[in-house]
Amino acid sequence: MTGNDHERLSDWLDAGQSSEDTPGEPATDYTQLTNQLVVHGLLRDTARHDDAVEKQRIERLLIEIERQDGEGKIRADATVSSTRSAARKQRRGSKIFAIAGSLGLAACLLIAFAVLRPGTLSAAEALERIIQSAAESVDRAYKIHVLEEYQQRRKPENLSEQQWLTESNENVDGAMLYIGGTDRHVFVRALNDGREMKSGSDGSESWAFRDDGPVHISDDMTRFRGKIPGQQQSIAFTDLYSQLTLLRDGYDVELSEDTDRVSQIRRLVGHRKSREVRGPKSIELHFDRDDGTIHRMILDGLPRGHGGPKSVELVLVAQEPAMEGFYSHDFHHDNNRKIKREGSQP
Amino acid sequence: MLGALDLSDYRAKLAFEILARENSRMLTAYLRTLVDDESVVDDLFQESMLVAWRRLDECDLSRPFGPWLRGIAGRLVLAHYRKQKALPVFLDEALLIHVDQQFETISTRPGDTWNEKVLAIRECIAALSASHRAAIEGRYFDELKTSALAKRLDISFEACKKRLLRARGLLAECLVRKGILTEVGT
Repeated sequence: MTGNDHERLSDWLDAGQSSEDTPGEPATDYTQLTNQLVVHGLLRDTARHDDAVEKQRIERLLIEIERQDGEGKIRADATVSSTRSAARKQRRGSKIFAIAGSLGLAACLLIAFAVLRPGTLSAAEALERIIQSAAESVDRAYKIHVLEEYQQRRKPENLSEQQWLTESNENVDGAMLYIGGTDRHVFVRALNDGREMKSGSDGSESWAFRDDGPVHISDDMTRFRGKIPGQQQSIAFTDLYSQLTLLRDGYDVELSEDTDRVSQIRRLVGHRKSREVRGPKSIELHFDRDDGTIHRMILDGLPRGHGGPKSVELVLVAQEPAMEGFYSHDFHHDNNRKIKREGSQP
Repeated sequence: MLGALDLSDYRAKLAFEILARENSRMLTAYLRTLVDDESVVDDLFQESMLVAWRRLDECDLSRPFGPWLRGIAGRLVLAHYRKQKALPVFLDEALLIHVDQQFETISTRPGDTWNEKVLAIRECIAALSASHRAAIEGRYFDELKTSALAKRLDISFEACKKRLLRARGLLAECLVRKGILTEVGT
């Protein structure tokens, strides 16, 4: 590799500098240049690879293909006489027959599964299937990503400066929500000062604590939803079952067109009917068409409450039995932690 | 014949889904070779796969799918840099052909998964001298910028760049010896 190639490549790979503005000759030693680039790529890929992210990429791709194909079909329907489109489709079909054949038995089994699958779902049926799935005592873990924050807002008049700072302290980006049916959950998130906050309920009591504070316990299952500083925005995350049942009456729900049966994942979108309905403006669910399991959920236009994001995404990262006692507070702290039971004498 | 068309659509998408899954890791690694920003990698991954899906009629199915997919991705990478007015002088069609050859060599290696095909890179890292290994681990596995890495290694910024270049060169030689990479023509 010449000194010039050497310098340009090094600037690009390791100093973040583009060389477009710098006049220069094209590369002369492709062997070294290629090897440097490929090794760089393999190292980056080895270091950054994450199976879960890879799966999400494919999932998003399939959803996008389904969406684009649905739009294409609507356009095609408007020009039914267009035999050209049909011929193209047939050509694609026959070509893909060849691929499918070469991919062997696994593909055939998938095809058979797709063809034998139950018929078209209505939005209402899909919603009931999702709610039923959420009500099952199946342990699921969701990772939360903040998609959009509200713009900086003024402090509400009814809050003191200290309350305002405290209530803005919770960071749900990267938080984990573990759900075990309608009344059991654990919600783990970071505070902006680096500490961790956990809350949950085991079906008989609710609890919440910071990693350096006492454990607050209450018999009121809703006690730590909306009253602990910073939790106002968490209602929609932790009470997934109630949020879903709200969709029945409070939202106009639409199911993506059932023209594509390849992907197991279907999309249902709910738009809030009015401001009277408590909850996000829209809810988008990507769910398993057969068992109703929510794989991805986007909550947009969350109630502003006392801080928190405008839009979040929940992604299913695990579905396996939780360890015994996982939903109880004592699973998550040592025995020396101070317990404050509400309603009891100090 | 509507039912027949629908059925072929199912099959088309199922087959494409299998191809996409089989090639997703390779495509990600290819894009990471050419693009640093992970969000751009993600966008170009989606775009490449969508273009492949839309142009599947044009794909010669008697040939491997990977090179065709990389051809699409490579053109999108060039278009991305041109749009940003940040196309490196050395990044041209000829270089992409050479990079593609190396990826094809890797793809034909024994192993069911991409990880298995490139497993030897771990052995090659382990075989580096301590100073070169520290540079590679800091830059890639600890994701340090070169300036921070130079501080950690207590060397100048320029010396750090040279050490990284040298370390990658040594890794390339090791991968060639192990048959993961080949000597490409100049």
